[in-house]
Amino acid sequence: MKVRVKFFATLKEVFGGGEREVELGEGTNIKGLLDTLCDSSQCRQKLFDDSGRPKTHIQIMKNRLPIQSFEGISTRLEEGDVVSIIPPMFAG
Amino acid sequence: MVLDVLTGDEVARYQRQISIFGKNGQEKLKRAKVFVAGAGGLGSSVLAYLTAAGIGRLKVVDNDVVEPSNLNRQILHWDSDIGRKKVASAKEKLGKMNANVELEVISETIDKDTVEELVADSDMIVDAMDNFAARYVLNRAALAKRIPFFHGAVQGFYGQMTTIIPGRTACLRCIFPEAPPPTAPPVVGITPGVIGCLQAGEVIKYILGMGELLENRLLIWDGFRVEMEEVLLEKNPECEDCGGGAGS
Repeated sequence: MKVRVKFFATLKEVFGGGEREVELGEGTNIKGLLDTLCDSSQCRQKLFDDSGRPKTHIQIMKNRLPIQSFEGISTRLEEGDVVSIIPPMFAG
Repeated sequence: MVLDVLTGDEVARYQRQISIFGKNGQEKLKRAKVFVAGAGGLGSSVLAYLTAAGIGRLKVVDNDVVEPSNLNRQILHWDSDIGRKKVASAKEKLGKMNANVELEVISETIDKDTVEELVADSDMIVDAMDNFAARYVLNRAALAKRIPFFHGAVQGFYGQMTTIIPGRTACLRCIFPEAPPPTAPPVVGITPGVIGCLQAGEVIKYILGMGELLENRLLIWDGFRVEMEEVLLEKNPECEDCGGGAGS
């Protein structure tokens, strides 16, 4: 199945662009997608904490909702889903 | 005391926008009371443009004092203001910009104990804060009062914003269920300039009932590449602040 992944702000630099289509096996979840996307140590440092879990303050949306409203990183993806990955912005 | 009808001087002053809004529209701006949370980088930009536009009453709350490291982006505060309360510095500059605007400034921390009284008499809330703890407090206050909440945040060359209308849109907690860790991120001064200016535009359009608001859309500004992108949003049915229901 194919899903579309959109990277925002500083993550564009990490992933070498703002958007890509990713081919995944049926039933892949968000964690599996992140593992597929991260093929460099720079990328893993941006997205994962020291224990190997995705950093909670990286905002990940499946279509129009944050993954916390589904099953977090265990959220299963389906053909045509759009995943947005947004780094934190909080200064004023 | 600000009168609710325009004076002759005000008609002349706002002539170039009255041609878009009409005198009735300009009087709507004059009757509005806008709460601006924060007088830093975003606050400087939002407040300057709302003051210039002729919002009748602005209430500004910030508990901070001006430091040298603020001056690259917080354009209401100057060298001579270092050590002053930000709200005092802001009031002085904004008062000189447009004496027709009634400015109420309060040096106070916005938290769950103070927010209800602080926003009690305001028609809408502008988020110009620098942390998510205060943003969540303001989000809940806006939901409770059923008034709009104009979110903005920045980092480096990047910024984000959305317009939250209780009952119609995703709330801040729907979009960001968890706060990022509090640190002092880098900020290039133009970024809060851009985002604050756009927030002021949303406030003006909301008051006038003109144009389309940034509802259920998170706008992300990339100043590095000069791009604006959007993430479409919807209410989160599991949201702990608004519950996501149609009536919330």
